[in-house]
Amino acid sequence: MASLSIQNLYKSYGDVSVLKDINIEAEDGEFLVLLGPSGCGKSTLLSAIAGLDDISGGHILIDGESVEGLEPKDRDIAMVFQSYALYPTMSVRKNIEFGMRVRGVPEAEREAAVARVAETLQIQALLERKPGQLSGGQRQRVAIGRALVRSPKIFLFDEPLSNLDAKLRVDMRAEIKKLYQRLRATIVYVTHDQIEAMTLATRIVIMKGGVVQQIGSPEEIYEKPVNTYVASFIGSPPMNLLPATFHQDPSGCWLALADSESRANRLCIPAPREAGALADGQAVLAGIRPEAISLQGEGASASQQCIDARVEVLEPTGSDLYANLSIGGHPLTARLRTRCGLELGPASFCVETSAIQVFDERSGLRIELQDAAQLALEQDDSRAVAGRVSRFPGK
Amino acid sequence: MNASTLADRLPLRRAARPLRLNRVLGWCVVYATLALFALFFLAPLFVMVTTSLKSMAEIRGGALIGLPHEVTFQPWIDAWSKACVGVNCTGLSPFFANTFYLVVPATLIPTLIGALNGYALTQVRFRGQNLVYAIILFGCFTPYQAIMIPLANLLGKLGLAGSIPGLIFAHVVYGLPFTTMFFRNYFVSVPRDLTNAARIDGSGFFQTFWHVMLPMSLPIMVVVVIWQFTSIWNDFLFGVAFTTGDQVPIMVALNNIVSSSTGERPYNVDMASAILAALPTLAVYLFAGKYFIRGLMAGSVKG
Repeated sequence: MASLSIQNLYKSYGDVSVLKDINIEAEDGEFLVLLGPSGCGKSTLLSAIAGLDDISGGHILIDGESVEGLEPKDRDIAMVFQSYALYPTMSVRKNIEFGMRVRGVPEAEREAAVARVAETLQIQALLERKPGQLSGGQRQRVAIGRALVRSPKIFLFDEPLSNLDAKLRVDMRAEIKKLYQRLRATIVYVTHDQIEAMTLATRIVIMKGGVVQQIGSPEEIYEKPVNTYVASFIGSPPMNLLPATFHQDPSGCWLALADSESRANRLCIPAPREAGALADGQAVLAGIRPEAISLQGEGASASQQCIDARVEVLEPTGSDLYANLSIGGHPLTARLRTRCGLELGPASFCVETSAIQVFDERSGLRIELQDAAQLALEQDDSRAVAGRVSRFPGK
Repeated sequence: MNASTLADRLPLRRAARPLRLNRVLGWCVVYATLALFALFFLAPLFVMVTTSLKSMAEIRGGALIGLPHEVTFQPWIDAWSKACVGVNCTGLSPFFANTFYLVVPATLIPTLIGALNGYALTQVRFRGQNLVYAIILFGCFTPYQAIMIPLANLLGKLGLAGSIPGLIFAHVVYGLPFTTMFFRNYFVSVPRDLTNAARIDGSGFFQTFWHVMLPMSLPIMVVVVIWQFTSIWNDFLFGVAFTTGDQVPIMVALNNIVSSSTGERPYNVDMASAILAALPTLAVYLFAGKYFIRGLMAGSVKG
């Protein structure tokens, strides 16, 4: 149990810089997930924390103490590898107790520790087997057992589930979560799977090209992505990013969605929190989650606004219906109820005002807006919303 | 089974028949060729074995090829304990012992060091790693003859000239590039995660080598042991150059038996000696051959 602090960390191989100015603080008992596509440096960062790789600059502190120059064994960490990395010639028992054996822990103590871990992970029956005789999921348990047995300060997981098949992955994910809830240990977990990150993490670190994009709770990351990269990386299907123009006049702010058809689709939004963050007529990207779009007439309320779109493709998945829409030639995905009676062709949809994000088109950064609830109150009786809803009385 | 499925199957069967005939013919050709070559390679062994079981009187009668009329084991007994090697008529037995004293350390030492080299060259990152390996590998391509005189010189200075320890030293040095190459190429397919896991577990360089890497390397170790054992057992050049008198290894002794006979050439004893000298390597191959083949394949296929 310990805190982890990474300060101004740099890592380069020759001229190639793989980690740039990484700053991460993890409190005691935090489940920190490093998330990013392959080659974003997340595994390198984990190796650096473990002490398997040297760093080129910056500091790593475990429990407030610098671990610079310390060998992995002296950092009091345990690691679970993607390939499990079980010692193939040793039985499961020997695998789990190897770390204690080389540290000279007496046999009785070792046996008790192995028994405790085997019970936790339900692998008592496998103790005398060799790794080659185990299934993928069982190997994974043993690998976790090997980390668990030493009660280290920090657990490091390097894509532990990516070698398992889909069904087993879901099971093991739940087990890791259960284990975490019981142990409340500090965990750093690397994955490229956003579902794993969302379900397990207390905080997610999103990385791209060796740079941290955003650090936040799963909710923050999902609801308030800091830039278009995070917005399109998290969520499946990802957040829709529609080209739009920002407009402002004394009556309020709105976005004019790119629309080649005659009438412009307008979305009222709260004013930017920082006055002057956006200029009238500035090109922006409107970020709308697929589930924030609903068919008009389904529980429409004052917090919603309407847009017209053309339905191009319908993809029923069983639980949901994904509708590929087009607004002025720009694609947009909506996540709807199945059997909602939607058909191909033009249709009208509602968008939750509070779910609209605005990104600067050039920098890709999100523009912080004022609270959406306030806008809804202000516009409760305004003609903008009422007028729009009544425009399509038939639907 | 209904009519339609039957009808579907019939044409298929008819098509299969000529195909099968072709296959049988093909196999016949393959087996005939194999048998022919087997005969070709076994013929000398046949002559050796039959001759070694004949008395000199029978050989003198001109029956060099063919089964013995009267089987005698006297030539084998002579070869083992009576045949003259140079001036001493001790048979091959003391030289068998010599060669065992030689072959055991000269096999084990380079195998162990080679394993350590292979581990260091693949699992530890250090500057100039590939250059070091290239230089070691260069040793594999250095001909024996080229280093003969400097090596003899060195052995003389070390006080090891003309003795079995000197010969062991020569074989250890010469075996190292090969054993290193074998182990390096085996360990290179071992994922780095494994040694990293051991590092995190707190295991040091040698502990990881001893507890993790060495037990894993059994398949390639068998290959290396067979390789070293066979090449040292069969070596003549180093043996004749670096040892003398009663210290010579088996192959040199065999040569001396054959060349030191006077008057009538005892073909039967010569043949028995030759078979005796070749037996250990033959036995090693028979017992460990399958590991040898498996080991050479190891790494080529995952799993």
